[in-house]
Amino acid sequence: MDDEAVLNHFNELMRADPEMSSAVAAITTLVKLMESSKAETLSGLVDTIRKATSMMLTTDFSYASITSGCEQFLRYTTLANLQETNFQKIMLHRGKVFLNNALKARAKIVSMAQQFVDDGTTILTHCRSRVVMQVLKAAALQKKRFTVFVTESHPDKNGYAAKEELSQVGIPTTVILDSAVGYIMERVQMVMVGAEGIVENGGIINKIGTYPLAVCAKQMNKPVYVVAESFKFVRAFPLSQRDVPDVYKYRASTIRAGKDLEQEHPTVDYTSPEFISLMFTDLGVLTPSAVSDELIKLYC
Amino acid sequence: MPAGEGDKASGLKERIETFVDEMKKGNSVNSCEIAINTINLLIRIISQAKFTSARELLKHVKAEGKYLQAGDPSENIIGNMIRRVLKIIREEYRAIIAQESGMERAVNFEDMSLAVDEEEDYTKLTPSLKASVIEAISELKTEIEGGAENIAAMAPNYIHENDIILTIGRSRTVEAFFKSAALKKIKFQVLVSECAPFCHGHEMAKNLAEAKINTTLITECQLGTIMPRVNKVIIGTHSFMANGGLKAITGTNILALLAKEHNKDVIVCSNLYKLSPLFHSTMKHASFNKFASPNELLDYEDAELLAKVEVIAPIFDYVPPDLISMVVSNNGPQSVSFVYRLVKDYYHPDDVEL
Repeated sequence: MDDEAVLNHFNELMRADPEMSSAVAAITTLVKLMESSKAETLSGLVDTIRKATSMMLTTDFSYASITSGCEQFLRYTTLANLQETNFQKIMLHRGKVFLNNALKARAKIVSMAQQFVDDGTTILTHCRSRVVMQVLKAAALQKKRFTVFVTESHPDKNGYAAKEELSQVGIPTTVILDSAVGYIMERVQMVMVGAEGIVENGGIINKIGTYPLAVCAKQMNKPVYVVAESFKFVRAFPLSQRDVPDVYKYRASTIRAGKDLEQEHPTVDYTSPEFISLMFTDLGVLTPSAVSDELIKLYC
Repeated sequence: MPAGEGDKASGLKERIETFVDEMKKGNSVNSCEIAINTINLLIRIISQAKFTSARELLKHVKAEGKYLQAGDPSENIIGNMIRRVLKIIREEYRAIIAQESGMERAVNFEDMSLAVDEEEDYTKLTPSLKASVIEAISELKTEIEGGAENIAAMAPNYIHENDIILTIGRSRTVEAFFKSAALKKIKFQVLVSECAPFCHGHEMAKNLAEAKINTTLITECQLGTIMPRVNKVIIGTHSFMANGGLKAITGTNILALLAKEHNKDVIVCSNLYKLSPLFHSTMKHASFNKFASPNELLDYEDAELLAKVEVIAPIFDYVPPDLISMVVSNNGPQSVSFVYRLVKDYYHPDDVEL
């Protein structure tokens, strides 16, 4: 597969199934790439994977998700006793195992998170996270009655799509202004958000507006739950918004156009772990401090 | 079937029924005994179980465990012990398999992976499994029995000359902790909050006074007045949750909040068998709380009032982890933010749901 084929395959996956996380699409693409790869050396194959990853990062999909998924994939597939004679076979096998786990992750999270959604709860969520949607829909299917407030979430206003989707399964949902988060907070029992990336200290990188939401929730003593798959654990350690690299914050097309970034709206913000109560991941329900433990297991 | 085996089976059944009955009636004595009783039952269940693979054994223990837990769903310790035993079975199985296949498994890269690998199916034949599992469980039992002593031995590190210490209700672990400090000739004062309406604090105060510790009994209403004069708060707990939050006797939450307000350290003395892999998700969670007879709050003589007033007497409070400074456990002092690590060490993720 050449660069263009990689990009086409990735874009095609994202088009065919809008519910697929961009990380999963990227990993699927990499497995496909490995299957057709004719690389004869280990470093050759690793190079091909690296190059394909950087190609997919030129799209406008979440940089945090794609980079974390691909980096983990590469680390996982090469974390074995590889010899010149059999490395393709072992790596491909491990790649498939990784992909399989990634595909199963969401279902695991959905069933785990159910115990936190109760009858009569009011939940505030931000934007439209695919996993959060599934958690809420599954809870509704179990005949739980609860109310959802969702922020409209500028600039793409995905909150309306979320409302549409939740209303269809009969969950009473209200769209609120992004600036109404403080106004609504006293009425909700918990905040549930997704994440594009979970960083090393247990903080998250997510759609812009998550940070003020979490700060407000903390001030009013409401739990903030983050729902995200473990392939979103990313090796970054930001301490402030400025520490988050530009590639995470702005679309690839914006950066390529060479615009003055000070004048552009960032698409994500960083929420530090002190504002997060628990994380529901496919590795279990974790406290933010457990994230670094899991990352160390993979990278050290 | 040889004679005697049928007797054994029915004997076990009877024991299980007695255990479940006692739990249902709420006649439970203390947490340590509940833990030991559960373990003893599990040892019997395993030694009488017929199985060909670890997988069958896991399934059997889980099913029996579920029944035991149903006796009192709010008694986390039963569930904890069942899950610890399940984890032991898994570990012993892996150890046996590793031994059989020699050193190959020792360099196992799969273990280093972030995601769970192809699942272990526990179907290989392992004839020596039963013996090694029972041995490991007996070790766990010894560890639990000796836990209170270990904790008490650490008391001089936390109780100092002229300390004024506040505690609530009665905890055997805390009582032993104070007594151990007193034996070291440390002079300190204990304020015991009586813990109405059950008033276990009365007994605690009496026991401490008998051990020649300067003891004062107070009511919960006085906590706010007393708190500024206190050096530290030392309490026990019924159990603690996977995020480090406590499930403790009612009144503990107010106490912990007041301690936070006045910047006093809250030290929890607890054996680690009380650590549950479950989370306190919502206040309504059925298995979290238990309600006692409101008899203490409203006399039967006032029965006609009952039609007009609802009287409830919940037994437990949830205390969020950020109100707790540290846990003194049988494995030494632990920070609350580290509890998730212990949960990972003690329990297998597949066993959380029984």
